[in-house]
Amino acid sequence: MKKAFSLLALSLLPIASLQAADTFEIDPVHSSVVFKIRHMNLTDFYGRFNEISGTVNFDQADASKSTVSAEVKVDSVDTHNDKRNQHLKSPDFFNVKQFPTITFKSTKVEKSGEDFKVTGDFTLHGVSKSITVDFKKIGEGKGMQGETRVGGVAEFTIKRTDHGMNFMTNALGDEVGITLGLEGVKK
Amino acid sequence: MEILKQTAIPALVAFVVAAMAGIAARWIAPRWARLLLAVIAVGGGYAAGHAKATGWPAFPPLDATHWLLFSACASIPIGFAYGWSEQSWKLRGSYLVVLVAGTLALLLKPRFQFGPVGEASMGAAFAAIAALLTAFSLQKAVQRTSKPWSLFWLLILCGATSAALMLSGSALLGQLAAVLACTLFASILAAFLGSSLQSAVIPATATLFAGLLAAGYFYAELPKSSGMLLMAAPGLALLPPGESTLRKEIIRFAMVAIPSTLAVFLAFRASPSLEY
Repeated sequence: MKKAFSLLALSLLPIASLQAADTFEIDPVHSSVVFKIRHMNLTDFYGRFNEISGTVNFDQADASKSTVSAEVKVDSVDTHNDKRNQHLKSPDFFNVKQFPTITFKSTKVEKSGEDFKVTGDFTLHGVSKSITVDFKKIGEGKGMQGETRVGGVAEFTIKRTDHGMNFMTNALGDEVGITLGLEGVKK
Repeated sequence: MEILKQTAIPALVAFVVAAMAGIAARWIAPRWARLLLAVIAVGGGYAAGHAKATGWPAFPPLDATHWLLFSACASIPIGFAYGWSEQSWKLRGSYLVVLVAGTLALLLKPRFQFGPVGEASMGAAFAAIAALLTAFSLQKAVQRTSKPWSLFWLLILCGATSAALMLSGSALLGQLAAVLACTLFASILAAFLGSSLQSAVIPATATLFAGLLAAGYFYAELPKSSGMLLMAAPGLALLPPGESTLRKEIIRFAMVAIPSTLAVFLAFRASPSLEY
């Protein structure tokens, strides 16, 4: 009886591991968060955030059970100019002392061929808006220490005025393009 | 240059609203109506300028800075009650404390959430002192004389605050301080044209001034030294004590102008400019 029960438990193990979600932690060193904004109707200006963290719980069997949560530290904004960085952190724009993070928490994940449509709450400047992001998986494999890695890119656009960032809309565009290059390490 | 242009429009809106209300009071006989127009001039003028600069925010506002707009609105009934209660210092004090404490608590709430509580508490205390000092100096000025030149020091103080806030990395806070300065300028101008100086404007003036200083220190990069100088400057308007004469008013103006100018200089040295 005991032997039969053990055999049954062992046979269920592969099914159990297929059903379990894999958790990936966003690797901040190999991930990028880049934004672009129209400056004075002359050119698109690019900046970045240097600190991102988060986790992806990915269910290979059923993508809809997957979840994504990410957080960007606003204080890490970097536009290769200290004066501009400080201005961006001020109450004129991000107001970092009041809103120190930008967050994304998924509410729905859908598989779309090889890629994914991720819907979630994007919170910037204290205002949350639901957005849907197309995440294009680029690849997966082993890292330098043998760890499992997976990565991809996503691009989406938001309107900063939707998030209460109304300053200087005559000189700086309302639409902000965001590009994410994310690499996750399996826990 | 673009920032100066952006500052001019909200400041002008504030000036027009304040001037209209202030000048209209000249032709109104009932005391209650003159008081009401006086508080609308400052509270309503500031609110109009703030709304022009940032758009009308949601209530409650997500961005704590926008509590200054709602504080300006609240200052209308509170200022009216303050002005009406001429004989009772206790009542006046209560109204002032309610407006100042309420504004600072809401304005600095995020700092208590995210920052060291000790630092936030100290800052709130200093801002409250700045408000009370400003209120006291203004009260003395209004009591000394009905001549509007006794309030010129207020203009240099608000102008210097605007400049220091701009230099502290926030053009928006600088704009809002310029809005306050223009509102007060319009009220003083209206007083020159025959409207009487009303103590009812003291709660709004003191609260908004202290609120802007606190916002500049906690949310922008206003240097501590600049903040302390601007905070202390209204107290110097009490010197020399005594009745209002042209000579004494000039000295009082200078007593406020010196630390105010120094505050701007220190902000200039410490902070990056907005041109990049």
